[in-house]
Amino acid sequence: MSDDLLKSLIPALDIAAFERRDDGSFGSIAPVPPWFTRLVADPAFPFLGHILEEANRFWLAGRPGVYEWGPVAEVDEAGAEFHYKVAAVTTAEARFLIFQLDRASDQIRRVMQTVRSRQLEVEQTGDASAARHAALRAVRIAADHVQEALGRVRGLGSEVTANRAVAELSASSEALLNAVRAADRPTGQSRA
Amino acid sequence: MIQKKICLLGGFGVGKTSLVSRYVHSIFSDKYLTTLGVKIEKKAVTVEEKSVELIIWDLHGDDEFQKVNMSYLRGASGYLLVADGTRRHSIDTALMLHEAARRSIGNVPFILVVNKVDLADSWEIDPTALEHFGVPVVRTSAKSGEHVEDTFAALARAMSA
Repeated sequence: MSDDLLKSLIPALDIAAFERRDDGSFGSIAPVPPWFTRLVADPAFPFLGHILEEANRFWLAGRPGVYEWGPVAEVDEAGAEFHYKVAAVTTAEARFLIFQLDRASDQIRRVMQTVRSRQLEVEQTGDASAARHAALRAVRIAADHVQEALGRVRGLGSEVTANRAVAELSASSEALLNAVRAADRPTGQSRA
Repeated sequence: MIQKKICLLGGFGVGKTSLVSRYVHSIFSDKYLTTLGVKIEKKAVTVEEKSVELIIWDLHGDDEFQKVNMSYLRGASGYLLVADGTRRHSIDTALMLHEAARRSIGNVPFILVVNKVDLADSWEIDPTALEHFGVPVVRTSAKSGEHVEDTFAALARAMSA
């Protein structure tokens, strides 16, 4: 793959990728996607705090591999929350710091929002049947996400699309399991 | 400028994100929005004539679906344990997280924050009983702002001592 293709592919995948130089600074290896430009003004990433300290130790160890953190939640200019993950990568040739949007966490959050909101209502009202209703609603939402992802799998155009769809399916299946656990919880347990 | 990391720990729906919003942005919303992962906010303060940038890590609420990963606490100089005065069990969750945090990062300054004092009529906790927990306790309201600024300032001072 040519450098030009790589430079167009990386932001298209909502990834901001930086090479970590020997002097500890970071150089972008491709144009950064818009979500990242809004998020980070300082290229030294001071907000990462101990994550950078751990990343530095990982890079200095020199073993090829990936070390991940997150999800980290942020709010966009419209007030909507989104999530991203951070990864330190060591290859034989270089060290990288990667930020990638995490849409799977967005989906999990939507399900958790439904379950927890209703659980709070139940705790306030003592209405145990509402908890089951909320859990079933969360199951329906997660099932819809699975159906959407399956639709994309059926129309696959590339390996990249496939990997994304698989990640979304995994997240949705986790959300489904969570919701089913909530639905199975005896009603007496709704008030801890 | 010196940077200090603070974490907020507690069960879900106790008001961790609302406390941070009140402290950093001076805003409050009644709408409950659950947090997944961590939200990182910053605020520059002056502590004993020194400029300090607080890096505030608002961690997701702990429950049976989402356990707090204590690795998020690494590098923290202090933490707030947040509970909801209207939900008695949220104190137990906060104290359980306190034990886990202490095992993870050792003894650093912390404060037990019992939030929602604006709903004092609905509290399931006897305010006078709070002193018996044997930890520093403060009652706050993210809604009204009561004691929010004081609490972060007290923790910042304790971290700088």
